[in-house]
Amino acid sequence: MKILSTLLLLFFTTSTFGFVFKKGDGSSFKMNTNGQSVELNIYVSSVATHNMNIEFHFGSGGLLASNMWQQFEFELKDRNPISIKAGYIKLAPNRDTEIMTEEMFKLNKGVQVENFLFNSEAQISQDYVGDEKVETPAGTIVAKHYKKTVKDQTVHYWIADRVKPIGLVKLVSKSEKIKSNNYTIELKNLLTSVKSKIDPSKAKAISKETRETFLKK
Amino acid sequence: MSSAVIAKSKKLTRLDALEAKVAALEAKIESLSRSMKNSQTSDTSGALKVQDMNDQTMDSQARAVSGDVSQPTLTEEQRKEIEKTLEGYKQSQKEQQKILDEIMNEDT
Repeated sequence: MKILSTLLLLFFTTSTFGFVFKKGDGSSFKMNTNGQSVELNIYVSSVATHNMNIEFHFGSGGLLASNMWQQFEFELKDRNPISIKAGYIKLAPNRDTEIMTEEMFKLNKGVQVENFLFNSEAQISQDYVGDEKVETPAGTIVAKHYKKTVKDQTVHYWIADRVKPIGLVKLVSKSEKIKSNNYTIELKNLLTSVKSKIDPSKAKAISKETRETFLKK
Repeated sequence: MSSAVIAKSKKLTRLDALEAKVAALEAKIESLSRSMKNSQTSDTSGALKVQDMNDQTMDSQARAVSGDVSQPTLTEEQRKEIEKTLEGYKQSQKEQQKILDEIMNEDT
C-alpha cells in the first residue's frame, strides 16, 4: 500500500480546477495489486480558504480485516493545490496517528506526485489520449484518458467530471522493474458524509518502528 | 343446480383468478429483483451510486453499521413499486387462503 502514498494524489490534480470541495465527499475504489484485492476510499477531510485535507483509507475485509488511513494537507492557491504541507498516518484502529516525514511522500520510484500535483491544466492536457467509455464496478462511464510515463512506470488514468470531487474513474499502473508499481484501481461508488478517522491535532511524532515499516522495501 | 353449488363454483372461479394474480405478482417480484441486480453493473448514464456514510468513519465497524455497499441503491420510485407489489401479493394470498378455508369448512 505504501507506494500509493504519493501516486494516488494525482487524482486530486486533474479534478481540482475550479471545483468547490465539500467535506465528507469522495469515492470508493476497488484496487488490485499483486493479486490482492483491497478497498480504497478517498474523501475530503476538511476544507479552508488556504488549505484542504484529503484522507485515504485502505481496507481489506474477511476474517482478518485490516485498515490503514493516511491524510494529507494541501496548501491551496485559487483553490488549486500548490504544495503538500503535511501528512499523517494511522496504521490500525488502535494505533496513534503519526506525523509522516517528507521522505515518506516520495517513495515511488517512477511517476512522482510532482508529475501531477503541481502541474497546470495545460501541462496535464499534454498527456491527454482521448475520450473513452470505461467499464468499472460503478458502471460504464465516459471519461478522459491520460497516459503518463516516467522511467519504467506507465500510468493510464481516466478522469470524469461527474465523479468529482476525486474525479478518478480508473487507473492502471505498469512497471517491469518494480513489482509494486503494477496495480489497477476502479471506481465502485461515490461517497458522501464520511467522517475522517485521522485528527491531525492529535498526531504524534512518527515512531522509529512505523517509519521503518513504511520505508521498508 | 343448488345455490350452495353455485356459491362454491363462484368461489372456485375466484380462487383460480387469485392464483393467477399471485403468480403474476410473483413474476413481477422476480423481475424487480432481477432488475435490481442488473442495475449494479449496467450502464450508469443516469445517477451514479452514492453511499451515504452518515458521519461514520471508513472502517470495518462503520461498514457494518452503514450496510453492505455491494447492494445496489434503490430509487424512491423502485422502492414504492416493490412495496406496492408486495402489499398486493400479501392481500391476494390472504384472500386466497380465506376462500380455501371457506371451501374446506363447507366440505366438512
